[in-house]
Amino acid sequence: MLFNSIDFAIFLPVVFMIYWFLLNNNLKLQNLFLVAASYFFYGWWDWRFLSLILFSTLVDYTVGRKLRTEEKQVKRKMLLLTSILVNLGFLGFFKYYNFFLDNFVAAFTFLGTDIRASSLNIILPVGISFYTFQTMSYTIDVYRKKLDPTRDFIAFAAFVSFFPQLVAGPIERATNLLPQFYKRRSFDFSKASDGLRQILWGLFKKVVIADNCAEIVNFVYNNPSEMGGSTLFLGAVCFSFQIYGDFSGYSDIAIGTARLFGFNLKRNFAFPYFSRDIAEFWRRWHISLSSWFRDYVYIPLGGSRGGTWMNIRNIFIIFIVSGFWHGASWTFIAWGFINALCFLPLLLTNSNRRNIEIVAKGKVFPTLKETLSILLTFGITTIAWIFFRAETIGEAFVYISNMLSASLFSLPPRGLGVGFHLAPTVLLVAAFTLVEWFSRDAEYAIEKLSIPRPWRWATYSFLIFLIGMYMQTTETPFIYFQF
Amino acid sequence: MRQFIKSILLYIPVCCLSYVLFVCFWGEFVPGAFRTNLAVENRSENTSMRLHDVRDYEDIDILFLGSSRAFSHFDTRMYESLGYSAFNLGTSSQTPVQTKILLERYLDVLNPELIIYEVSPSMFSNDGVESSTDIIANGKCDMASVRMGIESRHIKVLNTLIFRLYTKAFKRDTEPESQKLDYDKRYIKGGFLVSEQTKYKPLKLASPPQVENLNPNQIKAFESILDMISTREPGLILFQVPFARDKYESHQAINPVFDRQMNQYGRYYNLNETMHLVDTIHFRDEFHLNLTGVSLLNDEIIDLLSL
Repeated sequence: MLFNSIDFAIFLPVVFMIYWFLLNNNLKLQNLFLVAASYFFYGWWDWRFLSLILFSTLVDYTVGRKLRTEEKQVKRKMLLLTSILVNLGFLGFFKYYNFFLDNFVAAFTFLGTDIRASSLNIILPVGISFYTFQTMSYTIDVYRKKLDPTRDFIAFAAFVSFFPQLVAGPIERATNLLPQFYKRRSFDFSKASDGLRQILWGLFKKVVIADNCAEIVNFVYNNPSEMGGSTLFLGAVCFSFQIYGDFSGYSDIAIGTARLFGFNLKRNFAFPYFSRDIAEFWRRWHISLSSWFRDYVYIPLGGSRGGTWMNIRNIFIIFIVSGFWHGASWTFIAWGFINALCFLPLLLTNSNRRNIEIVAKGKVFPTLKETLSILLTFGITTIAWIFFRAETIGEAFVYISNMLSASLFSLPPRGLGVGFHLAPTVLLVAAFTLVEWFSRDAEYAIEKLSIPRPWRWATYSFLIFLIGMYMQTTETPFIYFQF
Repeated sequence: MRQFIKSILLYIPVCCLSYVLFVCFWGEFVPGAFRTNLAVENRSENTSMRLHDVRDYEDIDILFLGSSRAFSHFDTRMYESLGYSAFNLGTSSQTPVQTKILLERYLDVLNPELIIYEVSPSMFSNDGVESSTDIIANGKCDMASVRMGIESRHIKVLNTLIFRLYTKAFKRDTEPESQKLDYDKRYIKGGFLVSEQTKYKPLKLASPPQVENLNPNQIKAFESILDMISTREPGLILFQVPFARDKYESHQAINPVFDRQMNQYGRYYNLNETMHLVDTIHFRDEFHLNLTGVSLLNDEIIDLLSL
């Protein structure tokens, strides 16, 4: 079920009403109901893959219980390995099987050995990369004795399948989310209205910003060889906004929806395009995944403790693995590699933690230096996104070389020649960036609307109107569903 | 909780009212390029002209129906030169749902001897949004328009309907006097739109070809049209006008089913199978013929019908 669908617009109020009106006094029933609602939500897409979630839940719950009583380190390691193998096994089969097979065949063919193997027609279960990582974090934390294993299977099943963040995150840690299922939740007016506000903003980002940019992006990326430099540049910039609006929009809707049910999810985006360097960007972009890799990959590898070379190796590993997590393609690996390369100068000069605070804190406008740093960082990420979006690495290089040609300085053809709503898209993106800039010290752009209620309501109504006026009229799935 | 529900219930009417006000403001003051999901009457557009032009016609010999593949392909001048009076009532992306409404409005007056109806699988799988907005914005504002707007459950059609109701109620009826019509040089009196003499350059498709399913609502509307026509007894001939080859082949799975179904409804010609046109010579895009193609098409129809 998509957040931006009529189905969800019916599903959410129904679940909300039952949850608060019928089950308010019974925590266990509330949790059980959340599991049922979450399975329904997921099964709406394809009920067959519910078995994967259920199996993953059963395995990690059982492993967690056994880890509680098991004292022998070897056996504890075996238990942890079981959990990791099951989760990564699912992920490996559904997401990476064909990639590895095709590459092995290509490698052997290159070496002169002709082997035959045919790819399988595998459907990638929506959200598998998210819920497997979430449930693995539970087992690892229990193994590390950072978390007491749960005895409440229903609460654990609700933690794994919690519908607001099931298919595209934020990837929650068991230490944050699981305890919230143990506590009685009472309805909080300000939290619920804040949730609705965040849902509205997320919907605006997805439906207005991302989907309108997507129209231009799809056109440009489908015919890059026929486009001039300035059009390719426009396509690349639009993709930067598309992926941000799409993914952070999803996160906002997820966090807002969770708030309606009394839960606090972790922040996933913190105005990443106002970052002054690539390290800051990665502290602000997809925070739940970056911190997952930091805690479960980078630090166990030694982090920054083993000297410069070790640190460089670890940085490259986590960026490349993070790229590969996004999809079974060399383009994602290249995207991770480029980000690691851009991170390298900051690491070598020990300036990767230079920009911790939000830019121009307490001021209206940034300084010239800050502006240039922001633009440079945005430029780097935009170039890297070309690899993320292109079908092949070769196509990405062709895109970049055509973009950086003399035609970069000519105007794109009016309406790109195919009648897109180019002017409103550019204006909406500019207005959106301004709104985000002036709210950059908040959790999300319209969080702190400290104006009288009539004006606040007028603002919400205007946003709803903009959604109605500028939404794409076909349902468009979120980009991160494919990961 | 009670306060929360109370606030929501209070906000819903405020939101609906504000939405209507914003739509009216946008339609009135914001330039056309910035009104993505709102169609406002456009007197220089062919639908507006056609729906005003049609009032000058009655008791005609041939009525053409269909989408842009009707109004830019069936050249009324060629039929008039043979002594037949003709009107082309095609509108952009017209589907049977909109054709039915147009026939309810105009069939009695036009009273044609023969109806030539352009059909295609994409017409029957289309939601008809483009045509609904076009007809609501440029045509009469009556109960049929309101019904069509509500039944479409589509934001662009609803926005257009809101603005059309506003113009009807508070400002003006958007049907000007016929003498004020400013005919675009591409629009020919009688409903035909002269297509450009450009040649088709195929682009890589944005999305892979999809097997289209026929929409049951469109089939139902089409069958009502047949009922409506059968009571007045004009002749009805169905034509599938040629598509560019790659587009036609993207319907491959549905074409035989569609042909069978159309043959059940009456006299039907799939000209994709009989006319052998060349994409880069006779087409201007994957859906539309250029002037050379249009001329060949009408010659073929005139031959087939022995006009």
